[in-house]
Amino acid sequence: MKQILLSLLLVLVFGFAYAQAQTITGKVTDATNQEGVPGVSVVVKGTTTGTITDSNGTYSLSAPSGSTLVFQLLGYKSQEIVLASQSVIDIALQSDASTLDDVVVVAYGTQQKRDITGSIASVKGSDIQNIPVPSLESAIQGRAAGVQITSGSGKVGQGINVRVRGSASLSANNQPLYVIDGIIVTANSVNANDENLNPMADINPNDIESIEVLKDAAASALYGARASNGVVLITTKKGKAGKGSVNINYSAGSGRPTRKREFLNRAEYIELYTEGMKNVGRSDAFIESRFNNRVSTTWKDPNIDTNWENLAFQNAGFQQLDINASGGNEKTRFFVGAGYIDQKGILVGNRFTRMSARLNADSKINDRLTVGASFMLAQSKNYRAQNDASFGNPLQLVAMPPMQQAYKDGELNPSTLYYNSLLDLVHGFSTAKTYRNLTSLFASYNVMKNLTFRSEVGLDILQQVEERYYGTKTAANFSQAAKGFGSYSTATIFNYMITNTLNYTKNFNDIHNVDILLGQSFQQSEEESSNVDGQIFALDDFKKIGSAATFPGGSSGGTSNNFLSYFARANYKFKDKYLASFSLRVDGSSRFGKNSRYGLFPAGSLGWIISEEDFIKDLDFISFLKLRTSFGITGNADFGDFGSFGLYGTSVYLDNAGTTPISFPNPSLGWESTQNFDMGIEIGIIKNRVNLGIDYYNKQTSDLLLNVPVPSTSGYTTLSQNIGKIRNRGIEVTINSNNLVGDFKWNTSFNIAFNRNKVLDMAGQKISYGGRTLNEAQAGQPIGILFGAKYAGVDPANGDALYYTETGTTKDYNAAFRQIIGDPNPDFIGGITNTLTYKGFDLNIFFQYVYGNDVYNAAGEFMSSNARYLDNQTKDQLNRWRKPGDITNVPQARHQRDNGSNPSSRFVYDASYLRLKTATLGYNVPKKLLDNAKLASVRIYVSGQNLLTFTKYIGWDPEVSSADPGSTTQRANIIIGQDFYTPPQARTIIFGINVGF
Amino acid sequence: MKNKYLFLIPFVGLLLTSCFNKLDEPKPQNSIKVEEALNTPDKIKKAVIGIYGNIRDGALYGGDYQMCADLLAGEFDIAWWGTFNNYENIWSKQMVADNATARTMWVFSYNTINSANKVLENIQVITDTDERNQAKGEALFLRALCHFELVRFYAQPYDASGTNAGLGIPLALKSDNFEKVKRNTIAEVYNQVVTDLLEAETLLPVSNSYFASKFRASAYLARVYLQMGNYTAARDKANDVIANGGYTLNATVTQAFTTNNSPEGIFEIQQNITQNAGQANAGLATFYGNLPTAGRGDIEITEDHLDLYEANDKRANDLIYIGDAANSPGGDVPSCGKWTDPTKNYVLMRLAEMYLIRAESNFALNTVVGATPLADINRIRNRAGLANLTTLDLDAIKTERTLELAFEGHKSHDFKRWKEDIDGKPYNHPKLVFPIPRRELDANPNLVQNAGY
Repeated sequence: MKQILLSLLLVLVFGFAYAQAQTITGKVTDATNQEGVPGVSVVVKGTTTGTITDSNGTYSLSAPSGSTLVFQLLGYKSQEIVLASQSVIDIALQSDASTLDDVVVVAYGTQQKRDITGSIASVKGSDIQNIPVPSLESAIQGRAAGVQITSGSGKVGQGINVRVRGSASLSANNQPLYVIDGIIVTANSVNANDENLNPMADINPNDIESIEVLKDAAASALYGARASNGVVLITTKKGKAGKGSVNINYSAGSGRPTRKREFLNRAEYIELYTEGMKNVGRSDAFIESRFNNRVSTTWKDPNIDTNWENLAFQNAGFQQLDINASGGNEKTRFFVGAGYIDQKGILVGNRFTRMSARLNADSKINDRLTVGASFMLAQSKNYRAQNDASFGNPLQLVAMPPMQQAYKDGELNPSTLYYNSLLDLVHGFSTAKTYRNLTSLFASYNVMKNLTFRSEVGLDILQQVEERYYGTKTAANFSQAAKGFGSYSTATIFNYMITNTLNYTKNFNDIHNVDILLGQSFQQSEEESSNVDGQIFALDDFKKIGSAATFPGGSSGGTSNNFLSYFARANYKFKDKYLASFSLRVDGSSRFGKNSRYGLFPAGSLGWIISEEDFIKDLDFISFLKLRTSFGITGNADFGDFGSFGLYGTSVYLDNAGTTPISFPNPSLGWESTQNFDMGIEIGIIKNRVNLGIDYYNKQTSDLLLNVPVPSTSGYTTLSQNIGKIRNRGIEVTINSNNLVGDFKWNTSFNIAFNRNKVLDMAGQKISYGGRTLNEAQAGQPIGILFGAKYAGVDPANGDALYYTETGTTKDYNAAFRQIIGDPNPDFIGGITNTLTYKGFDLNIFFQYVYGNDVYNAAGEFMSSNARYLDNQTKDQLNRWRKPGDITNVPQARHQRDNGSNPSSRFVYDASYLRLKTATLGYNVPKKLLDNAKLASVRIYVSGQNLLTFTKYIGWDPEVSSADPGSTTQRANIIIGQDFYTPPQARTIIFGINVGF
Repeated sequence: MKNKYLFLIPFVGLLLTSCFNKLDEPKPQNSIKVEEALNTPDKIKKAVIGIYGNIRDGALYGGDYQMCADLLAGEFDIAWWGTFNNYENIWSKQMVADNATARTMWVFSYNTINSANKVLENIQVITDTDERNQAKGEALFLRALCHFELVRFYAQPYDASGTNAGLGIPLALKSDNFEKVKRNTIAEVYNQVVTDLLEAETLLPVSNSYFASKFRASAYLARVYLQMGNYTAARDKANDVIANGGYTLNATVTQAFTTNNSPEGIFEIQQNITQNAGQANAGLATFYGNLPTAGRGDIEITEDHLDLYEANDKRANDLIYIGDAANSPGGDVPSCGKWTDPTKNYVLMRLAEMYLIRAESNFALNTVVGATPLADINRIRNRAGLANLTTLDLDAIKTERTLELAFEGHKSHDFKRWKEDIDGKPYNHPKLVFPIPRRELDANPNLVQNAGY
């Protein structure tokens, strides 16, 4: 016995003495299929010593006995082995169903999911691969709790509204900050024509490894003055050490509009409008001449009955090809990929193509120095459909009387009530080409044990060229085109940033974990734009501006801004169960007025992993339980570059250039400040087969950068001031459940988010726009509340449209009591995904929903206005009042007289919807069959997008947001849930094949 | 030593310090700071140009000031067929309280007035007396025009026999005044307009290219006095312009609208292919024009209006045409030929109006200053290809004025002056007055809305 003890002691002593010499080898396998797993990082805990498994899953490294080896790979549960005397350690990694041990990308680093004290929604790249949409926001819609994503329309490649935990601003931008591989990228549109384009559409979603949405201050405050709207961290795919692989994916399909509306046919049109003119006392002769003059001299021809709605849509062909290769060894890893997408819109003439290439590589130069680069080059091309409000918007064709022909004698008919925008497709074009380069380079250096210095340079170059030509035959829409009109616009944003960080991590006595980050960053964004118009061309064959006889318009301009920032963060973990984190950022910006140059953005958070406590460890039922809470201050600085200046601009009179005041100075102008409180609980039950997360948050934004309305007798309409408060608070719930495990797997992911938005204070002012809009911002109400006359239906006695007054009803629109008539903000939003796999088959069914929001159809006054104008009417207008006693909601037809056509609750609808967003059925060909063909994997799939939509909304699509082109940020923030001939989403079905070599 | 890379750290530190100044680096590139905008004589003169640049906007003299006066006069002369419901509602007297045209006209007018006030408050920067007088005169002239147009649209008409103590519009006589001002009375506004124009008349030179000049101020005074029913002053100013202004009637009725700055043109908004009120969504020619090359054909001239003309009246034969813009597929839409080219000048004031003012004023006063009313009316008639009248009554003067100045922005103002019904509504009906824009009432609770809104 003594001998045994002695020898043990000897081993220990010598073990320590020769610690450096102990070599460990082994093989890491996948617990499910016992195959070697390449690319697993094997690290001696608390040190930077480590290696990566090779293509067969084997590894070899030296480590002192008594130390702990950590085996880690995304998608697997990490394992830790304490070294005794073994020299061979084989590990079978469990694939990670619970995801708790996932490494999550956080601000300036990564962190284990279980240790995170902030609120972060993660979407894996694999969930959004090969979905037939051009940009990543569409792909994550409904997948991240608390992130509301609304496509402006069914036009491809256009702007998408993203709201993380609601709108926190009235006049400044509400879109989140996008960070791709460490670079804060340009996400605001730069285009000059039509609605905003989406710069994020330059990014190929198939290149994305993961998306993290940082929602609370603990997660986002390290981005300081730009974090209030949440931060979206996008990480692109990196190579993995081990056997190289080549992957090819091809898919193709086509789309149709999710829904069509019904409009009157010729007989119905003639009946309704004849009645409408008679009702206002027009003579038969008058009616005859109106139809002759304004509709068509052949209006009586029964064979002419055009369905204009059908002409607005096309078969939206889709194809996408991605080829990528990745691989590497212990020192160097790479990922190269190329992608091409060609997606037609459902609107005639609308199309989006993108060619992109990516190279991500990093290499360990030596034990201390690692360098890497991430490089992306893309060209997106958008064949544009004109903006919703333009007669060139093909969907406005529905306004045409059915007695008018689209084609006459084989040619497009240029003589129509409104512009026959099909002419644009033949005789004109409008394109926007974007060239995008994202480059980031980094060097990471281990200054000493536990201390890493990292320096990063990021470049984001966005160059856009918009070209338009309108030929002589399009002059009906655009008189300048009578002899041909073209324009050429460019915009370039050069955005660079330099970031330096020092990171210190240390584990003390196995119970204290410390992770400290110090950093500094400088970012500058420089924008240049120019435009030239050309008019009068020899022939329509000459389309370039160089061929124009005269140049009626031209401009050039530029703007820039910069941010200088310092930041620090300390994470502390005690005994693997008590978590604390504190961060601080100082942001200075050229955008801030002289009197408020620097802002301070602190955040603190605490976490408690209760399931590590003894009193709960023994409970079989609960496998994981964490409480966390955070508080911090974030800012929003996404407003004009020179808002603090009082400015004089140019005002031209014939050939004299003069000046005119354009803004009033405010040297104290600063950021908006948001106080974020968040409290969350994460529960894993039944061995983490079911994971539940609940978050409560309260975001109070004060010092709103408000364009405060002022009397225009001052010469201005607004003053930029830091005034006003807005609050967003809500609850988010996520559930992830592995309902069935084994051969037949069934996983359900569910999320639901309730956000309550309220404008608390607007310094006694309110914002409204009048005209065709109903949205307002006013204290005590959610942003964009619909405010106006409440429609009281039709007077059965005389067919008058009625509105509510405070006490009764009136037919005088101006006398109506103005009140809240709708709320475009949803009560709750979310999604549910069911994934079923059996042997080689997998089926993924994803529903997305929005509940409790109202949409105002601003086009109702034209298309559903009981024959107010000559516009063709929706079928429901046939239910108009005709004789005393008629009970209906559609007033008497009165042509050219207002009878219920003004903006009111008559055109406000509940636009809740449940949508089968994506359904994918895939089949993985068994490995056995592939071995002969020397293929690693083959997967074939069929996928549908927007297959079903359940809604009470009567328009084309409940998912709308029709902000006018060129409208201010404030207007786009407030005019939400407005439909104005807004094209619906596409229902797309694609077939695809994915082959791995 | 691998630690040699440590030298990077101080280097980076250096980089940091150099960043501090960078926060001041970004500068606006298409604008200048207010403090640097009005500090030299040349800059003041450039700011005067800027006022013209503002007042030519489609919401002001680029179109709305004139067109709305004719739309408001209504359905007898015009059939509005376009889908711009803001205009359609003005034409059909169905304006809602936040009518978009009423809003933009108000906002742009005060914006223009503010640029004039900025000039006036910094006028001492110009040391040369003549130059200073000219700049001041131009700013006063343009400010007066805006106030005059505003009070005619947003307030009840001036009543020569009344106290005019009713609500006018706020007078903006100070720049950057964020106070919640009240509406001045109609009398106060007209008095200010007259005061500004009289001062401008004395300050301005006789000749000043196409910019404001002495006789242009006189001509506007004639128009303002006529609106006030001050026939003596109106007659004398009109007579002064006719006798001494150096303007002559064109040979044809069309020339004033086809030739920029024709001999008859007193004051015109200068336009060309690059600088104009708009060719797609704004500007007189956009709405009146009904040609494949110009206009939307939104305004159709009614048979009732056509019936007003005698046979052979060139103002009907040469200035009204059958439009054939694409949206008139039947091709039988009579359209106004005065505004057919969005790149040509918009005539605001021409000599014919001076003859009409002199005739009407002489007739009212029973005087013959300059010429008899009959001679002045016949001068206008002859030019239109019509025979002389032998006797004259007020109706004949009114008809002549209505036809000669048709669609030039006079009719509803004239009818209110004459207290004549418009589309069956009495001249002072609330629906013949624009609403104070809702955004303005929201921003300034001291403003009182007009009746009927």
